[in-house]
Amino acid sequence: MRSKILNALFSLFLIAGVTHFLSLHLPGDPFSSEKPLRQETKAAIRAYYGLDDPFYVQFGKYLSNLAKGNLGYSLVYKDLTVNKLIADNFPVSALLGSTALILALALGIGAGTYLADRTLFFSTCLILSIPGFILATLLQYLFAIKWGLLPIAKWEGIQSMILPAISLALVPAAFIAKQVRENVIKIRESDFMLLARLKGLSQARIFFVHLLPNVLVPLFGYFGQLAANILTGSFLIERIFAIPGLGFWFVSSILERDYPVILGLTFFYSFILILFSLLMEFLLRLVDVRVKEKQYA
Amino acid sequence: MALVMVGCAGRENKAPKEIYKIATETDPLSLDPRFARDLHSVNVLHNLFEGLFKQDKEGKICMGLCSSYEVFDGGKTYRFRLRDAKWSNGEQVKASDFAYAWMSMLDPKSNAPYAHQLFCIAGAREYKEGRGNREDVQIVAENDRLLIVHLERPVAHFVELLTLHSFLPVAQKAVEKNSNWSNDPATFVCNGPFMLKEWSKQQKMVLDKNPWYWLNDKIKLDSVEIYTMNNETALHLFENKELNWVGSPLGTIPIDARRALADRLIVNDSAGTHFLRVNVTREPLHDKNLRHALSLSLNRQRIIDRVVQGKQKEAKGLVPGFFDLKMPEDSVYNPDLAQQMFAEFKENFPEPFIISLIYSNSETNHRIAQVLQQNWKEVLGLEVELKPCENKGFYHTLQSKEYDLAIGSWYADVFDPSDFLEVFKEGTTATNNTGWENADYKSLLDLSSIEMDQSTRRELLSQAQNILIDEMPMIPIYHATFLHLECGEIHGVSLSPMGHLDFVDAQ
Repeated sequence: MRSKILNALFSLFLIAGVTHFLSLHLPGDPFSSEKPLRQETKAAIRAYYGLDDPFYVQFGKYLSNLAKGNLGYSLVYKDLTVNKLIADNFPVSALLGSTALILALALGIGAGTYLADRTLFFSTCLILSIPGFILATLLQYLFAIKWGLLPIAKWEGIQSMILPAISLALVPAAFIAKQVRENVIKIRESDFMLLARLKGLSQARIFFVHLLPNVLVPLFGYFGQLAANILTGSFLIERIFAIPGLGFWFVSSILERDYPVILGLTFFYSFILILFSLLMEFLLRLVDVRVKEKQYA
Repeated sequence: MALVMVGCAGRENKAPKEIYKIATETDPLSLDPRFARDLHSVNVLHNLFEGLFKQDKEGKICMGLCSSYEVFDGGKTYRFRLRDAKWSNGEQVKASDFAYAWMSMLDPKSNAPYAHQLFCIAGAREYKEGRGNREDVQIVAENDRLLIVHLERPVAHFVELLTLHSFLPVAQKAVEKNSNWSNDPATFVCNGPFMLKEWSKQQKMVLDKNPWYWLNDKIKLDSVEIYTMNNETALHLFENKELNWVGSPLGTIPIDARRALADRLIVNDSAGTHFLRVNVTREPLHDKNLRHALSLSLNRQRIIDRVVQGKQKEAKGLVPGFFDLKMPEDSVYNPDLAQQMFAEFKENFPEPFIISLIYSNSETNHRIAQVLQQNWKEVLGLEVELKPCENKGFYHTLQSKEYDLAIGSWYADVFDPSDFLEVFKEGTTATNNTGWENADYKSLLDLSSIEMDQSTRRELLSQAQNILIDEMPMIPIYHATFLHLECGEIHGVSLSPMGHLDFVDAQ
């Protein structure tokens, strides 16, 4: 486990370096617009932020600030620290994301286990082939605009969470459902399942104690990466439903060439992704006896 | 006990709050007047702050915090008398607040993007560029209510300049206490019709009526709520009666929706022009005949009717019609003459060529570009290659002059023709990017900036524009309009040609 953590730290360092290098070399700069700054003003601002220093100097400064937990200031939004940006917006994305994850799991496992083969096939095919934002717009049109059952947009109260959470959950749910169905079919006929049925165990016990863990364990890897993606916010869903999450900032920071924000958010996302990967690895070790044994083999 | 209960019940019968809800497509970038650049910040700033002068809904100048003023010395010295006004923390607005704000922008260490707008003040440029002393900058707060400014040279439109957000005051005491004062409603101090009640970034901003504003009893609205969201969602919310105003200036009516909304769209003239920049350093565009052929063959009305659909006006020159500049009489669309000029050009340049058209990849620009491509193919048989670019990449390409034609626009910072014409003043001006410059054009602009007689000045500016039209480093397309939708019971929100929203008369 220790080596995995060291690996993770090295990955983070590499990610920060590559992202920093790439973003500084994108054509265009944060200050250009239809109304450009005068040459002297632009030069002064660039010097102030150290944007003309060589890469290793800029990266070095960034790392030393990072060590102190300071992710820097936005170049575009005056006096906005990246720390504050993440602190204000991540909780919103995380709350919406967690709700979507729970929904995705519930729907995915339920559908994967109980839906008829053909229904499952068609519904998952449909959901997986339609882009997420079209599903979202469709849901918004039907349930909010046409039938007026739910709020159209904005982040005000529990009701406004429902449509965005469903929109976020549908595609993962479909994927999970397919995987679950595949695994259920595989595992249903195995020896230990036959033994459980012969022993006369109740349906519930067979499902929750014997079937489900074995069905879900292969999904752990997928789940870690899914969690990181959904929790950090989806740009499109958040725009459609006017949700003040982190998703917007991922995209806008790149379009604006807001280097500290690009770096800070990429680092944050990588951190979450690596954290969840490690977490799922750890859980896997805990749950799956076979993995533990392989270690000592 | 009963009396107390009756008393309480009486107090609860207040009139419902008058709240105006408006959507914006992006948050203001800064609410510190000294550092704001973008239209969204400027719009909100004009509602939170008031300077010496301000613009009314037609764009005309009227008195703000200045109650009277005198001009001496042939236009080089101005004495402004301030009225009795307070900041939103109850403190008096003093002349020193103006001086403090302007001096802090001119500080060589400050990053104020528009500090150059103050360079007309004597000593300002030298101080900013590190060549002069702070004491030599001629801004004097003689006493709490008297501000004296000496200019480098007479400036004809200095009073117009003073309506800019760069000349707004800030509360010196509050700013010195906390450099992050403009980001937090708790520390925000302003002196305008509204004050900052709430600001959740990229979500919602609430402006409440400012009880300390000197004209406070004229304001009927209780608050303005500004919601940040994308334009399509804003339109949905508007149709559901959850918003009072969608569209320009803070948002945009989605281009696909304009036809269906045609009879409900409210159109306001705007001090802005859309045009094509022509890279005159590149062959074959160095030939004036080709440039004129391109302009004369362009059916602008088609773009206005089919693409932007906002009753925009065909543009013959760079400066919109508000200013009455004299322009040549000939029609701006003349395909026969265009073909003639193109034939003349072809005599000097018989080799076939393709012209590239670059533009920032918005939905509107995609369509304009396609119409242009088709137009020139039909009339001149010219091949045009379309090159959409991502926004920042576009500016990079534009500045490095690696293009033939580029779609561009200019919306005035100052309500004056010189604001438009100075875009192309010199070859090295950051806004130019065409490689064109003309000594006569430059000298006409210089003369006009010190000419105090309005009609002579207009004559000089007309001549300058005529040089621009004749030389054609830019092909004008249309003069812009603001499109928006309104609903609800509150009326009287106005939109000036500069794109500034005014809630002062709303009720």
